Amino acid sequence: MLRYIVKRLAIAVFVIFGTSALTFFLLSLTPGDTAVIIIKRAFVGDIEYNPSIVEVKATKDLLGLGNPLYIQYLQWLINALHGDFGRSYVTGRPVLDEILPRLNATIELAIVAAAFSLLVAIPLGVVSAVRQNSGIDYLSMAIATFFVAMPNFWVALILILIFSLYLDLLPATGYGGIEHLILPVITLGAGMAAITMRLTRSSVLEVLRLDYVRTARAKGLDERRIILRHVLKNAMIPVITVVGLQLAHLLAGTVIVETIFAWPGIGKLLIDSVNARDIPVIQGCVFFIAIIVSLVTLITDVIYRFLDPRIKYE
Amino acid sequence: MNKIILFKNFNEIAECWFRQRTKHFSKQKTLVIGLIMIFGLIFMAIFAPYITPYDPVEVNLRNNLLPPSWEHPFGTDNLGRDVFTRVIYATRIDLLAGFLVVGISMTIGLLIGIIAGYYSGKMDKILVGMIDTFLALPDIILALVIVSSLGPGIYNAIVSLSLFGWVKYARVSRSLTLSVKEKEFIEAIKAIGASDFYIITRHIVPNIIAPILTLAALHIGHAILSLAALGFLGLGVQPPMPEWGAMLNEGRAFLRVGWWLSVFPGLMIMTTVLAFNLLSDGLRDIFDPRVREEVIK
Repeated sequence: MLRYIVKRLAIAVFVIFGTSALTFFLLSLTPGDTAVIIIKRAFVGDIEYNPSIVEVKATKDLLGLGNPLYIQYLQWLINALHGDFGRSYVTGRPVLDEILPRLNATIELAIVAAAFSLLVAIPLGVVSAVRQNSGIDYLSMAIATFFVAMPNFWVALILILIFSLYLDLLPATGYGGIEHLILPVITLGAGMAAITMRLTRSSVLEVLRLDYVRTARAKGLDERRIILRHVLKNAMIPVITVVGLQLAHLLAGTVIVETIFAWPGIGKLLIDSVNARDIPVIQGCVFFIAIIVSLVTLITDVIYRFLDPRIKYE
Repeated sequence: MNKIILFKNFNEIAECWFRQRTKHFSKQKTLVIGLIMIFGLIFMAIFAPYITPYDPVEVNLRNNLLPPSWEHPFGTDNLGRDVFTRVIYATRIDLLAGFLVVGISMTIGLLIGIIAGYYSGKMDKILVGMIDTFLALPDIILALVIVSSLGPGIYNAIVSLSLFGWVKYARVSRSLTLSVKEKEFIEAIKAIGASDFYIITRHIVPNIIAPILTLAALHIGHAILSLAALGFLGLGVQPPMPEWGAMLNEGRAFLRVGWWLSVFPGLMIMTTVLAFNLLSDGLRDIFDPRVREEVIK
C-alpha cells in the first residue's frame, strides 16, 4: 500500500509540474512584449505610458526576460517553490496574497455542493434501483438525464430568475451567510447529483444480481437490512471513484458559477485575470487548481484501493 | 469480433455489422430519439433562412425587448433582434464548431493513440505521461489559458478545445490497440508479411472504431457545452454573431426585464446536448454486448 501511495504521489508531482510548464509555455504565446506590458501595468500603472528602450532593456535584465523560455520557466518554478509567484499586473500585489484568501471560498462552495449532491443522489439512486421500472425510477432517471444536459450557467440564470427576481427569497449574488450559499450550491450540485444518481442506480442494480445477495435473501434477512448492510457497501465502490473525479471537475464548474454569483473564489479570480490578461495570476491560479485536482484524485485512488482489496497494487 | 477480421474493407464490415445489429436498432429508443433530434437540429441549421423571415444581426431599436408573441415567438432582445431567429442561426455556429472540435480531436487522438499503442516502447511512456498531465485539469480551464494568450474568438475557442480534446481519444485508442494487437489474427497477418500500415488501417482501426464513435457522440455534446461556456464568459464567439452561450451572456444583463433572453438559448443548448447524449447512450448499448443482452432481454 505504502509503495502504491509513494508511486501515486510521484505521478501527482510530475503532473503538477507538467501542467505548470504547459501553462507557462501557452501563456508565453501572448502577443506583445512582456517587458513592455509589465512596465505599463505593474511599474507605472498607466496603459498609455510609452516606455523607452532603456527602460525595456533594464526590465528585461531585471526579470530575466531575455533568457530562453525554459530558463524563464525554471526561474519561475524555483521562485514558486519558495512561495514567490510574482506580482499581479493589475493590483501589483504578490500573486500568493491574491490567491490564498480566495481558496477558502472556493473550497467551501465545492464541499457544500458535493455534500448536497451526494445527499440527493445516493438515496434517490438506491430507491430507483430497488424499485426498478417504477414511477419514481422513471421520474428520477428522466430528471437526471435532463440535468446532465443542462449547462450550469443556464441553471444558475433560471434559479436567479425564479428565486431572486420573481419570488424574492434569496440574494442573487454575494458572499457571506447561508442564504448566499444556496443558489450556487444547487447550481453546482445538480449536475453532479444527476451523474452520481445514475451511477448509483446502475451500480446497485449490478450488485443486487450477485449470488451473495441471493444467499442473504434465502437466509430470510429482511430487504432493508440486505440493501443497507450488504448491497450498499459493494455498490458504493465505483461511486466513490466517480465522485472523486467529479470533485476535481467541480472546480471547472466553480469558474462559471463564481462568476455568475459574484462568489469571491479562485474561479472568479481566474476569469477576471483572463479578462485582464494578468498572466502571473493566471499562472498561479492554474498551479493551485492543478495541486487541488491532483490531491483529490490521489486521495480518491488510495481510498478506492483501500476499500476494494480485490484491486491489486501495481 | 473475430468474425470481422475476415473482411477486407470497411464497407463489408459495416454491412455485416449492420445486418447483425439493425434488428436491435428499433429496440434502441434512446438512439432513435437522439438521431431524430439531431436530424431536426441539422435541418434547422441548413434551412435557417427559410424558417424565419428576420435577420439574425440586424438591429431594430424600435422593437427592443418585446415579450414572446406570434410575430416573435421567443421575443426580441435589447437591440430589437428576433430571439427565435438568433437561436436558429446559432445552431449553425454551435453545431459546426462542435463537429469541428470533435473531428480535429478524434483525428489527432486516433493517430497518436494507435501509433503509441501499436509500437509501445519509449514513445508510449512519454504519451502516457502527457495524457496524465492533460487530463489532470478540466478542459475548460486549459481552454481559458489558451484563450487568454491567443485572445477571445470562435477560432481560438475551437483550437483550444481541440488541443485538449484529443487526449481522451488517444487514451482510449491506445488501450484498445494494445489489446487488439495481441490477438492471433494480427499475428497471422503479420506472418503473411503485411506491412504495419496495412495492419493498422485495415485491421486495427475497424476493430477499435466502435467505442471511439461512442466517445465522439458524447464528446460533441460536451464540446458544445464548453463552447457555450466560453461564449457565456465572453471568451468564445464574439457579438453580434449569434451563439447560444454568448446570447445568454448578453441576456444576463436584462434578466429582470426580459426573461426570454435567458431562457430560450439555454433550452436549445440543453436539447442539443441531450440529443447527442442519447445518441451516445444508444451507441454504447449496441456496441457493448454485455449491455446489449440486457436490452434484448
